[in-house]
Amino acid sequence: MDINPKKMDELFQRAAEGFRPEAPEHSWPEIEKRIRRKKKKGIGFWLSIASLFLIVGGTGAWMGLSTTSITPSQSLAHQPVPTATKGAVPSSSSSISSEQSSANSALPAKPSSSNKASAAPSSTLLNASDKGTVSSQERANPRNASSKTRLKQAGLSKILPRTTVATSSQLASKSARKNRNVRPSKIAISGLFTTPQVLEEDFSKKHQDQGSFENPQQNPVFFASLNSKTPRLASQWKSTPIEWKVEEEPITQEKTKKNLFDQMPGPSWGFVFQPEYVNNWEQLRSAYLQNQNGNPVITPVDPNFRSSLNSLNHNVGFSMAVQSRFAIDLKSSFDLGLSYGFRNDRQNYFECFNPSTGENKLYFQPLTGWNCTAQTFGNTYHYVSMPVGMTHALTGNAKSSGFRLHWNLVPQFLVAGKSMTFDFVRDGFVTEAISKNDVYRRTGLTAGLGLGYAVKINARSLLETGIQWNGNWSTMFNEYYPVDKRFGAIGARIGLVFK
Amino acid sequence: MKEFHHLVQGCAVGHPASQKALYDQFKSMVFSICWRYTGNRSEAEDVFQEVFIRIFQRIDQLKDPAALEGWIRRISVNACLNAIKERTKLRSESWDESLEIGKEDDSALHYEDLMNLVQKLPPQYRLVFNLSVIEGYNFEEISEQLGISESTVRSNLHRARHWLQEKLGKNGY
Repeated sequence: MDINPKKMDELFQRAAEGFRPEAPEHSWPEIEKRIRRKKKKGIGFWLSIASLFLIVGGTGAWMGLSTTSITPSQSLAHQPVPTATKGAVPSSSSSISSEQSSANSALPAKPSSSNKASAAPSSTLLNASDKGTVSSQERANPRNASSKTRLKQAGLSKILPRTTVATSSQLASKSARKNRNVRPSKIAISGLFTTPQVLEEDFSKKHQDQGSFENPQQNPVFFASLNSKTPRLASQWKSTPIEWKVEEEPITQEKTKKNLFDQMPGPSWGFVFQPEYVNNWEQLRSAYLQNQNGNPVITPVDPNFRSSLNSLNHNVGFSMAVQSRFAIDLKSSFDLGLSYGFRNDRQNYFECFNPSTGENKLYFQPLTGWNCTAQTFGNTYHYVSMPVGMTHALTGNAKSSGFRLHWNLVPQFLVAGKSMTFDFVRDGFVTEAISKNDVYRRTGLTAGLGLGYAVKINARSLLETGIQWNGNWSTMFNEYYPVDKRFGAIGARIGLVFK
Repeated sequence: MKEFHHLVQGCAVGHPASQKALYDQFKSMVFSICWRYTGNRSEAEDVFQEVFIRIFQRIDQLKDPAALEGWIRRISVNACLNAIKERTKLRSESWDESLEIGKEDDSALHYEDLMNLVQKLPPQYRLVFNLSVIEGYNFEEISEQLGISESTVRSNLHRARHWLQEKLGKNGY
């Protein structure tokens, strides 16, 4: 006997609607137990994240404290007109108290006839001849001196515009900043924490003059996508064996058609905001340099033209990036971004006075035999870069928990504006605040390699942690000079990905 | 559907009373679906628990509380399909195997009897019948869900209908 299929279907539909079997009584306690258990796990997860932040923050704070503790022990400046005996005291024995240093605030003004760099034009050196215009009153109390004079005394004339100080680009203090080899260590919320490891630094013989104020920035190595509706992510969602189970979208004709598109790799777009705290361990190597006329412009600390020291910068800033991710497969994506960054750093330097020659220099390490005072200045600058990278999920897939391998390359063909603000701090007080806008070009490459673990928080959020190593090879050009740099950094990272 | 709105909000923040209320509200429907798809009570109970765990885990993603019932239905169906796939994988069964028709007992055909009749269909026929006739999916969608060709879907549905027609005919429908 044939039954109308339509009627039969309706019959079964009604039956399915009306059929309500008794649900098992014992199920709810079991379900409730499993829900609560999962919540407890969540608390543990957040506690572990908080611990990680504490460790990272504590390490950064410790690094900062260990550096600032140098300052009082190096407070040897502002001595009265020194004697030869005082000048013989090496900087390493700088145990004079801060009281003594603050009490002795007069700067020496006696020119030196035995200056090693005397063959150079006077404008290229920060020696006694630079002080010719300093009034006796200013010598007696440098804090009352004019800004320009104070800068000269401090060896910072280079930061003044050329129109103000015609030969500022050749001052010796600038040389002191040359060829810094910066090892960044970053502590970041959604960013990086890296501890330093310098690999190598190379000086180019072709470079005629001076070093750099440049504080090479590690471009952000972590980028997060905030977009949750891209074909590529939908493809992962759909195609992953585990996630296949949780397809909750209504199955429609459009959806089916869209799935065909989802199978293809496609772009996703995202945005990242990355506040960060950066510690730069620097290794400075001074070299015997020549100006364009072949004259020496800095007295080498090391007769072999090199010396080393460690210096520490404190950087606070953030970076923002708009980026696209192109899915290669379920595990891998190609990342391309455009990043803007902002940093403010506090950098240590030393005001050094040679008691025997009367020479005054700004340097990044205490000079042996000189009286040196630890000082700081601030930099505020902006940068733009275009990071390129890849993320590969070693376990799981790109949107689930699991180990991750990251690598990124940041080609640096950039022209950046650097707005620097120098706050000269003496004995805890800002004595000078000078702003200068600078433009520099940079060509080079930063390569990063990292291993991390991602924890899926929910369907849209992923927490990524890991270890990252970065290497940098670049040549930087600013208005004065090119500088070759090679450095590396290793550290931990933590970040959030929103999809 | 204001009550669903509050229910969903409460569940989204993990409020135990809301979770229990939602469970009580939909347990029969969910269990019905689980039982209808899995074909036996013990497996249905397992899937039933999984469905509610999944509901409470993902309810914060539900944008429209008015669509709660349909959303739960879809989760239930998908959970059942996954369970069946897992079972099929474990037993190394293929879609063309074990098409034996269950023993019939169709003297009184009420709703439960009709559903019992559906349970007696071979798993492949039952799945296709449930997805097509009860849930209203088209062949293409079922084909994608089950990983079989559309022609197989059509064939299985035709056979399921034919078999059920016979049984219904015997009982005077």
